[in-house]
Amino acid sequence: MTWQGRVAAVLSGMFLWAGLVSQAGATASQPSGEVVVMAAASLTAAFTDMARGIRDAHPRLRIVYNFTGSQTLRTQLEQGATADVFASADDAQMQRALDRGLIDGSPQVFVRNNLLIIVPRDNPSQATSFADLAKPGLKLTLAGSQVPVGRYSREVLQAAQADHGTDFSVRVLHNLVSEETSVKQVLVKVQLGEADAGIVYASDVSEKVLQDVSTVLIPGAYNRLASYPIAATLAARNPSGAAAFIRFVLSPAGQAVLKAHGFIPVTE
Amino acid sequence: MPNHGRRHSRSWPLAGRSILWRLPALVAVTFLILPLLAIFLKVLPQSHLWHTLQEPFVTQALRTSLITSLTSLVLTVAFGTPLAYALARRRVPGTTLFDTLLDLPMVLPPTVAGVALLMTFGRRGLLGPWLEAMGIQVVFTMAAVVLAQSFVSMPLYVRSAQAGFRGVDPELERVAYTLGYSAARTFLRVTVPLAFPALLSGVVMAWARALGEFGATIMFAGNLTGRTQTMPLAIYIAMESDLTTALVLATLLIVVPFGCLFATRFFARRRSYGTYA
Repeated sequence: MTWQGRVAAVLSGMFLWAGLVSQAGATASQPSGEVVVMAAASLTAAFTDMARGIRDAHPRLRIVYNFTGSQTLRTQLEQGATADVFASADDAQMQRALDRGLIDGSPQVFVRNNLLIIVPRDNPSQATSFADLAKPGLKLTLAGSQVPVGRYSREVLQAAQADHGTDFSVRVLHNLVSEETSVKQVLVKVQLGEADAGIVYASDVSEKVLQDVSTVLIPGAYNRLASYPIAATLAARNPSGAAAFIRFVLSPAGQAVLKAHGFIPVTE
Repeated sequence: MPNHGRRHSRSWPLAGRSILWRLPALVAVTFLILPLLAIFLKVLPQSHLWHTLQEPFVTQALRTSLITSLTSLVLTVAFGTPLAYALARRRVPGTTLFDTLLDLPMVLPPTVAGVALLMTFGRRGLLGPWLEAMGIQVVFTMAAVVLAQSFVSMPLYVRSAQAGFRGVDPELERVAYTLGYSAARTFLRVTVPLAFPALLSGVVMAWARALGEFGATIMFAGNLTGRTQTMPLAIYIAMESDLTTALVLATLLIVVPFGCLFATRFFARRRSYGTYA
């Protein structure tokens, strides 16, 4: 998306949200207090941005974020960390949290995301296509298979075997030099030029990131659409605040912020 | 230690008898030991302990950790010993500043060490172009793990060795030298044996620190099973999938360094080298 597009999306989001606030302002009890939100690392910029909108809609609500790999967040929840909201980058981690009885109600998918290949700007391995991931000697970094983006990446490689040969996935994974703990670590390793290629979310590739990396598209036939579920936790200390946060994320205003950060709104 | 008469007698110093002193001391001891105990209490009832120990994920982490930490130890001793000796014997202007600088890697947050190493040995780091010209890539290799471990553990060895060398009377070295020992022979036959307890304790401390290195390793060397995934990294990864594996690895990382530290202390106590006894 161009920067003009982003600005337009943010602006339209703000207008939508302004309309929403004027309506919601009339409703009785305003949620207040602190809401602890555990969110997938890929949501860092979008959710941080969204906090501003929420602060204006619910001035008495204070949002506290914990961003890291969804699998780490789920582990933290299991070990008794207190949070009001859990936003995961895949169903697998949300399902595990559900199975452990940590989630209140049923999770809702609130946004989707595409995968992209990134290479350093100077592209030392000359990777220009998806098939180049199997180039001998290319230094590939992926997130670990526990990390949602790592799991999606491996699914993409599997799906591509129909066209690129049954050993495609093995050949690509042979190039793996590191299994990172979150998508942001994959991004950093490519930005620093240490890795020759990595697979990240489309939303991770901001204008700023594009100063250091170029992107290579993953053919639509194999690309995996990441779905992000969100839910309140059973141990939430601030259930009304959690509900307000989730409502805002699903609102047109929240969706517009996500779209401005390169995500795919659920409404599309 | 100078003798302070009554206070140095068999009985406890006065303050030590008071409940006001014993209670915080008890809290401190409990606080330090309870978390370690908790791991054992959690791991012992697990049924597949032996089976978990044989999983490739665990054995490969063990292998990676042993190879890298022992290599790092060899480098630490090879390069750290001459440095420690020089620091112990020469006092030149600026020594205090130099000493402080050398201690830094020990107290720096591991993440700072990780960034610093990336900025030095990374492709776009200080030495990056030079290394690349020679066809060497450090990041994501076992060499990176060894560098990260040496960076944080060498100061521990140097400190201990330096104190050891300082305790050796230079007069003894001079005597040996005048009696016909070569400089190298003097060092190996006189200085090293006299400083041995301190050297050994430095070796064990440095090795234990290298074995436990996490932050700089995951940032600088990455995380790949069988290549750069050491035991601390494996624990971190296993926590997110299989707690038992994490607990088994954690137990190993408690038992092995404990055994080494304890054996060293025991050994050092039994030797009587004056001030080191």
